[in-house]
Amino acid sequence: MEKKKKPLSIRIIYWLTQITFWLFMLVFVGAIVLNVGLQAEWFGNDMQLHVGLPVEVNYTESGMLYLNDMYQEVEFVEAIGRLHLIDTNRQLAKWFGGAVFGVVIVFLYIFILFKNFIGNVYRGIIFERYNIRMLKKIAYGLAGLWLFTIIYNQLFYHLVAKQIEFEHLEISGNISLYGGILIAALFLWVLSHIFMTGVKLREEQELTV
Amino acid sequence: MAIIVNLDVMLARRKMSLTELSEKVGITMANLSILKKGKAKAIRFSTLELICDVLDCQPGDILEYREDSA
Repeated sequence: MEKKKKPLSIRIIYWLTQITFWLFMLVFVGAIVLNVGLQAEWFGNDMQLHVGLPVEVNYTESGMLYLNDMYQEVEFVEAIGRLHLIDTNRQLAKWFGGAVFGVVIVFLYIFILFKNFIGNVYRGIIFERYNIRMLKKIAYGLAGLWLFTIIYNQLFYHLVAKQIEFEHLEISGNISLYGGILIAALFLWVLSHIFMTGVKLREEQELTV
Repeated sequence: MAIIVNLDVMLARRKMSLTELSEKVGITMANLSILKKGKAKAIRFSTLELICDVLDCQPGDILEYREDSA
């Protein structure tokens, strides 16, 4: 019997997922080692930690845009950046290390589910109950990631960002909401319900004599 | 399930095997087995008609409603 060839798109996404997953596993192992190091205070007080600032900052800087023989005066007003904690305090490093590790764990959970889901699709197992349930779990994982990020951002803003004073810029208080993650979670959740209805209809069809 | 399939009873009364019924009605053994075991979710009128014709019975002889015990 001739073996049916899988579509190119499925093969590409399968191999990309496999490669990315194992690269992520390396990052995960690195995150474990780093976090153990931070919690066990292996590193001194001269760490140079960089953390993302989840709050917009106001900064005024004028400039000139040159486009198609036209000059346009511009002003830089708002940005999201990173904080360099110079000679990071050990306690702060532990706190950030724990938070980042939490995000990495949720990411790993989502990634494992996604890898298994794509693996099943690659093997031709598509509209099966457990595969659809996996899609639903990915949606819950993404919603969890969004919630975690929101809590982290709020804590970061109120406990850290608000206490920072800069000479030339001001922290605005516009905290990133990462609505895209929530929309993706809702989309997957709705999609999983539609697929599950399809699976039930197929099962009913198969069990109609 | 509230609907009970009494196909095995009717087959016994008519002294007919499932294989024989399968050959006479033109439905696969696998499908008839699903029906006999009560695993079927639905039955087509055409299937019911064929079975009733071969077994010389009424749909009520094959299907029975029994209230679910709570």
